[in-house]
Amino acid sequence: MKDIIVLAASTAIVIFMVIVAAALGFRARKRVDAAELERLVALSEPGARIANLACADDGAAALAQLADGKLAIAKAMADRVTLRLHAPDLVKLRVEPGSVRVTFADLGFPALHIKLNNPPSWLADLAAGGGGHA
Amino acid sequence: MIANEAAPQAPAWISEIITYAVPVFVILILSEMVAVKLMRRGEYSAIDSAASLSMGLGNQVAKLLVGGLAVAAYYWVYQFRLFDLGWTWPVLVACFFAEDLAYYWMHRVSHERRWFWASHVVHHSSQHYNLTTALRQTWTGVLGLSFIFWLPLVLIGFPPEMVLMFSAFSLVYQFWIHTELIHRMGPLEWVLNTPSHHRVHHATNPQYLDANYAGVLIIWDRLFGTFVPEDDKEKPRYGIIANLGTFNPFRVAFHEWAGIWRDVTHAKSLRDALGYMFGPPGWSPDGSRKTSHSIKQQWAAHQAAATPAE
Repeated sequence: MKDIIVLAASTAIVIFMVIVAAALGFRARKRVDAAELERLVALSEPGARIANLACADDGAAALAQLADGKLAIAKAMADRVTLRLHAPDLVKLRVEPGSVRVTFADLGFPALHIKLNNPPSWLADLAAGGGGHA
Repeated sequence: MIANEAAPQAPAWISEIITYAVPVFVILILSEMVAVKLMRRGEYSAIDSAASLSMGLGNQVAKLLVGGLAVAAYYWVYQFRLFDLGWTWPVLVACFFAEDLAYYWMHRVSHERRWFWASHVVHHSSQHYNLTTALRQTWTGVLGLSFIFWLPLVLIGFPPEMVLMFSAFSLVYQFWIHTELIHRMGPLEWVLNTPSHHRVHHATNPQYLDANYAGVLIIWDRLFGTFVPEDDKEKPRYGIIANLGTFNPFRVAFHEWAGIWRDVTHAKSLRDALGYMFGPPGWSPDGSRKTSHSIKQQWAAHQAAATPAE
């Protein structure tokens, strides 16, 4: 019983601390643009060259094809951006109306909907199983 | 052992050390948030902190559910102890150092072997470094058998309660070093694990990878060659090599275990399966994935190519 009370109190304190953090203004959201993606790719894969790039209309994500064929997928995570580099065969791409859906095998990276009203041709080509135009 | 009134006794409050520390943790976290806001040094994200604190809560639930297994293992091994060390001041001092050394090796192996990394990765999965990151703890530590690194201590003859007490003290000590507000601490940097040393440990910059595994004393890293000082010109980038794309605590807790399962079930041989389980994180049979070692090599090669020859 004591353990339950301690856990309940801890949960209440956690909620309180998160509310305080939000109230203090720690709610920043980062936008993913071409410069940010290039910066992250350079850090992760020194010397890599971006061949094609598409940024989401809402700035929440971006997708690039590197010159060596790898895909770079960036996702805004609050005030940070997470980048993943994958061989194209390890990522499932599907062009849907108004967005491109990217699916990963990794439980730590849920499927991503990149809002793109006009997906570039290289992306549509890639989703269709082609190699793009790297 | 002859009873001695001056000899220390096993304190009754050992199991409550973390519980007693929680109010202090809360006050320090709230103070850090305000200080970060006012001083514009360090960073917070409410949703990231929510994920970290949820992991801390889940860790407490996991300890309630299965923590007894680790304690039971300590007592089971203790019956085969080599010496009856008992509770004396010299034994307490020796146990402090022995526990810290055991922590160093547990922590180091937790970074170098994927089986143990699958639990420990949780603690490194935030891209922030603040006091809430300290509470971002695994839910699978006991099931991942990380307690086995302390079994030699009870086999030698250190009382299990004493080992548990110093483990708890070590955890409490390591809370306050998760901050960007404290820069350097003078001569203490030589002996103690400090915020500066631990920032390096949490960084993904290639030159900072696989360094500073200390719990309380940084001397182990200096002794075993894993010490890397913080370079003011190289700001740490926190997180993991493949940062997470989620704040969902369940995904955070189990993503690496799911990755091991996926790899092992697709392995082409027993050797590959064992490599996926017990090789370094990022190991793959064809070397196509990145390990800390390959990242450091790639970085060093790039640095060498970028530096003009004299």
